[in-house]
Amino acid sequence: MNSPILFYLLAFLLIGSSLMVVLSKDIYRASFWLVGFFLFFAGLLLTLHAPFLALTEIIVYSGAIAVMIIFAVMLTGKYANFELSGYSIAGVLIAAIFIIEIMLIIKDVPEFKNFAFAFASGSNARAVGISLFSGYLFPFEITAILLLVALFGAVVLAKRRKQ
Amino acid sequence: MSGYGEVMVAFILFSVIFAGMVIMSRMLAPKNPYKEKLDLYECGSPILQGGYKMDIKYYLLAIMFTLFDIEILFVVPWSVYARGLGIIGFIEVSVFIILLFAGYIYAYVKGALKWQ
Repeated sequence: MNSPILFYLLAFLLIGSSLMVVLSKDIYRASFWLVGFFLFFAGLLLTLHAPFLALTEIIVYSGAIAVMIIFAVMLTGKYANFELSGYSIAGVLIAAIFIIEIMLIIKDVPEFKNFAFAFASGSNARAVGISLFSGYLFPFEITAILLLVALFGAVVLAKRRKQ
Repeated sequence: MSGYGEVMVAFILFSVIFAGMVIMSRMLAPKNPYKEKLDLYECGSPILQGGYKMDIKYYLLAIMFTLFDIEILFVVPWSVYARGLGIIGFIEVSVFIILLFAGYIYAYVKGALKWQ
């Protein structure tokens, strides 16, 4: 489990599949490469001793989000025959800004270190549960309301389309 | 922390099995292409420009699947440590589930789950 060979293999596959997402000319293929990206990322999290996050990645991302993306591509398929290239410079810029932001956040916010420590000791799901139900009760309930609003929005939009 | 090696083995097995299904079906399926078979069949009308209709209710189902998937994600960490989180944790997770169940009832009443 702890061998660096596995980590580097998965990291290599991860970078390869994410490059394929960006470089694919066909949006269908790009979305399926994205599924591969999620799966390899889950494997990478397993090698980093974060099995709860890995299974989350499988269940939510490669399970639900990927289905949503593929359905969105299929629903807009008639209108999606545009050129995918031509946005590369803007994309690289936005990605660079995003990476710098994340690095600054990880550097400055001390809670990330505590979180990493909680992950290193004992069960993952347990660590997430303890921090979720002790320090982050309010965001947790807000998440429920957010999900509820998303559900209402989906139902309203889909029903309006039909009439 | 150990014991997740089995999960890894399961993932590798799944990948091998599914890749094997695709590759074997491609290798074993009988192929007999000829010109008439590969030709486009379009009666009278000009060839359609790749457009097709897909029902929005697939997307609605996908969104609802995602929402309840995320619900699992939040309930599992509670259930692992339910005893230690006590009655407050129970109340919190109950409020969470009740809120999402209200959404389910709304979707059900609105007929979003009906397949017509």
